[in-house]
Amino acid sequence: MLRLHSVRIQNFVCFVDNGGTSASGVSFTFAVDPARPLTVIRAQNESGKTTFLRALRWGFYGEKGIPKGEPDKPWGLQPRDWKPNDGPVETTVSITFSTDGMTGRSEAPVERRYTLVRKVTTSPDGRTLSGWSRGPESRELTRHGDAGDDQVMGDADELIAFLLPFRLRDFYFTDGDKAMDYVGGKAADRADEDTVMLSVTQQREQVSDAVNDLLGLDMLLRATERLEKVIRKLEKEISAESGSELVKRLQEEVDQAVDELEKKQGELKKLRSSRAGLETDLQKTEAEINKTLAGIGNHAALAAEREQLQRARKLADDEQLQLTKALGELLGDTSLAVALAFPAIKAVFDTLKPKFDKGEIPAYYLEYVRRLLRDEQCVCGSPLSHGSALRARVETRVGESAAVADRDTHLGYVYQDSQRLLSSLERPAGWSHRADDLVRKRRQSQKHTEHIAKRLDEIESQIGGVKDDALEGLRKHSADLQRYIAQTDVKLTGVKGEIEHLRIRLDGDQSQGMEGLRKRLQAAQHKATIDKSKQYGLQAARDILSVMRASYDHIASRDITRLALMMDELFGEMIVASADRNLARVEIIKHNREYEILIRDANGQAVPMSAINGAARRALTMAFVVGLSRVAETDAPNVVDTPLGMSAGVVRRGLFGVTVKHSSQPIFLLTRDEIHNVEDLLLQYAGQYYTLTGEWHAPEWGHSHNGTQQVLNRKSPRRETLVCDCSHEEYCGVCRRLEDLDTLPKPTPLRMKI
Amino acid sequence: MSTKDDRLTRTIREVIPSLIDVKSPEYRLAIERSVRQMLRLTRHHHEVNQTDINKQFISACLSAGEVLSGMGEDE
Repeated sequence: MLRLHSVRIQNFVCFVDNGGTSASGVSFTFAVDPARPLTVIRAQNESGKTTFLRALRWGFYGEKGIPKGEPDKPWGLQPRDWKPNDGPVETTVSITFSTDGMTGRSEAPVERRYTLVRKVTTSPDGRTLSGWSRGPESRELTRHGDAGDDQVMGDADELIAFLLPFRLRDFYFTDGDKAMDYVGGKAADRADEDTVMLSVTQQREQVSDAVNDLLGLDMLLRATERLEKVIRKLEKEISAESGSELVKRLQEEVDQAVDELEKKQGELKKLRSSRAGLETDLQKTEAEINKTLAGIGNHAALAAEREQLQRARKLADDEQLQLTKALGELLGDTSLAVALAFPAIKAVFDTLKPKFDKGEIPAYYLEYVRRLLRDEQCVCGSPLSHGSALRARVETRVGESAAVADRDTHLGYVYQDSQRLLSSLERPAGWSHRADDLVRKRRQSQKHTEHIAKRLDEIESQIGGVKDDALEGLRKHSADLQRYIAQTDVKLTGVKGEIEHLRIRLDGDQSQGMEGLRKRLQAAQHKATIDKSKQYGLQAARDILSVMRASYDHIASRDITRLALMMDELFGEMIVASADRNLARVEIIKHNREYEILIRDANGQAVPMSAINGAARRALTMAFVVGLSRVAETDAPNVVDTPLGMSAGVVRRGLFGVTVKHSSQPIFLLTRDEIHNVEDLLLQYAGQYYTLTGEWHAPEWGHSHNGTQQVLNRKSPRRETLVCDCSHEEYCGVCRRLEDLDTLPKPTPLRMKI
Repeated sequence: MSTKDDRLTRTIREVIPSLIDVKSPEYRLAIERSVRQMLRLTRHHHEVNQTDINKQFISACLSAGEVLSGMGEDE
C-alpha cells in the first residue's frame, strides 16, 4: 500500500515560489479520506499540469523519470526564465508518502511515513551548447518515527523500486494523451496528428510489464529460472558422483540441449526486439514520405490519399487476420469433429443403448464390491476383515470378473460420451453456417484488401515518376525496411520451430508417448548409487519447481481471466449508452508470456485499436489500470493528466465515476473543459482542490488564447505557475480568468473566494 | 508480508495439494517454506551476492529434501 500525502516543488520549470509568497516553492496536500479520495488539480492547457506530473516522476525516479530532450538541447528542469547569468539554481522536489509497512522484508502491517527529498543544481556551463549543465542529483529518504525520531534510510531507490517500479511509471503516473500506450495504435479521431502508432509488439510489452509485475508473475518467473539453474547444478553434481556411464552420457545430452535452448531463446528475444524497432522505423518513414510528397508541387491530394489508403490497409489486414484466426478456431471446434464422425458415433450409440437400458453397462457392481472390501463389511453384515476366508473368496471373485467388469465400465463411458456428442449436434447446420459466414466475410475482406493494394500500387507508380531526391531516398529506405521485416519473420518462424523441437527433446511429448531426456536422466540417476541426501534434495527441488510453475500457470490463467472480466465490466460501465455500444466485449489474449488487450464488436469480430475513438480508448486504458490494480489488490495512487479529454456526455461521466469509485487514491489533473458535466461528481468525491494558473497567460505576455481564458490579474513577473486552492466553483485574485467575469455565461455560478 | 507475497502464498497453498503427492503435511509445509524463501531472495536479488543466492536456493532444496528423507518417501 502506498499513499501520497504531500509534495513540495521548488524551482522545477514553472513551479518556483508561488509568486513570492513562499520562499520554499509550492506545496500540494493530497486527499487521503477514503470517503473523498479524489484530489483535483485544475488547470488550463499549458498551465503546468504535465510539469506537475513530471515533477512527481523526477521526485521518485530522478533523471530517468523526465524527458531527455535533444543532444544539443537537453530538457531543462530549472525555472523557465532562468539564465546562466543568474548563477547556479537548486531544484528540489520533496514527497511525503506512507506505506502499511509491507515493503517486502517487513512482516508487520504498521503504517510508516517517509519523506523523499531529491535535489539537483543547474549551473552555467560555457562548454555546452545550451550554456548550462546539471550537477549530480542527491536524494534522501527519511522515515518518520512515531515519537519524532526520524531516521535517514540508506535504501531509497530500493524502496521506490519496490513500491512504484520504474517500468510501471506510466501505470501510476498516466499522461492521458499518451495513455493509449496501453491499448496501442493511433486513435481514429487523431489520425491527423503527427504521432507514431505504437506497434502491437510495443503495446503488448507495456501491458505485459504491468500484468507480470503487479500479479507477481515476473518474480515467479525469475525464481523459476534461477531454480532451474540450481537443479541443473545439482543434477550435474549427482551425475558426476554416480560413476555410471549411462548417467554421464545422458547428462551430457541434457546439458547440450539446454545450452542450445538458451541460445535459441536469446536469438528469439533479439529478433522480436529487432522486428519491433523495424516496425516503428517503417511507420516513421512512411509518415515522412507522405509529408515530403505533400510538399512537392501539386501532390498534396496524392499524399493524403496514400495516407488514407495505408490506414485502410492496416484495418483490412487486421480484419483479415482476425477472420483467419476465427476460421482456425472453428476448425478446431468439437462440433466439426462430431459432424464428420456422425455415422460412427451413431452406430456406437445404437449398439450400446440396449445394453445400457438393461443395466448391463457400466459395471457399477464391481466398484460397489470393492468399496465393501475397503470398508471390510459385507452387504450381509459379515465382516470382510483381512485374512478372513470370506474376504479371500470375495477377492478371488473380484479378480476373476475384473477384466469383464472393467470392459463393461469402459463401454458405459463410451455410451455416455456418444450420447453427449450426439446431443451436441442439435443444430447440425450450426457449424457450416458459421463457417460459411466467416468464409464469405473473409472473401469480401480479401477483395477489399486487393482493391486497396491495387490503388496503392497505382499511387506508388505515380510517385515513382516524381523526381525528388529526398523522396526517392525515403522510398528506398521504406522498401529496405519492408524487406528486413519479411526476412525477420522468416527467421522468427525458424527459431520458434527449433525451440519447440528442443523442448520436446528435453521434456518429451505426452501426446506422442515420447519420453524426454530429462525423464530418462532422472530414471538413470535413481538407479545409480548416489549420495541420498543430494538425491532427496534434488527431488524436493523438482517438487518446488513444479509448485512454482503451477503457481505461475494458476495466476496467469485465473487472474488474467478475472482481469478480463473486470475490465469488461468497468469498460461497459464507462461507455454505457454511448455511441460505442457496439464495442461489446473486452478480452485479454495471452501470447506465451505476453498479453494483449482485444476488443470485440457485437458480432464477435475483433475491432482494431486504431479504429476506436479517443474517448473509448481512454476508457479502455483506465479500465485496464483500475482493473489490474483491483485484481492485484494493489493499493496505490493513480495520478492522471487529462483523464477525460476527448470524452463528453455519458461517456465522460462514466469514465470519471468508475475510475474514481475504484481507485484508492485518484489524483486528477483536469482542464476546465473536462470538469464540465462532472461537477456533481467532483463535489461528491473530491477531498482536495487546487487550481494552477500560468502567469504567462496574462495579457501582458501577449498570450491571447483566442481572446478568452486569459488570466485577469497577473501576480508574478516571472514565467511561473501559481497555485491556489480554488475549486471549480470558486475564483480568487490569482486564478480569475476572463471567462470568469459575471457577464459571461458559465455552467456553474462562481463565487469569489476570500 | 506484502500484498503480492500474500497473494502468492495463497496461490502456492492452493496448488501444492494437487502436486505434492505425499501424505506428509510436514513435507508440503517444507515445500511452501522453500518456495516463499526463494521468492523473497529473488525480490532482494540486487542486494545479495548472486553466488550466495544460489547457495541459499540449494540449501532450501536440501532442507526440504531432509524432510522427505525423514519420511522414507521416494520417487
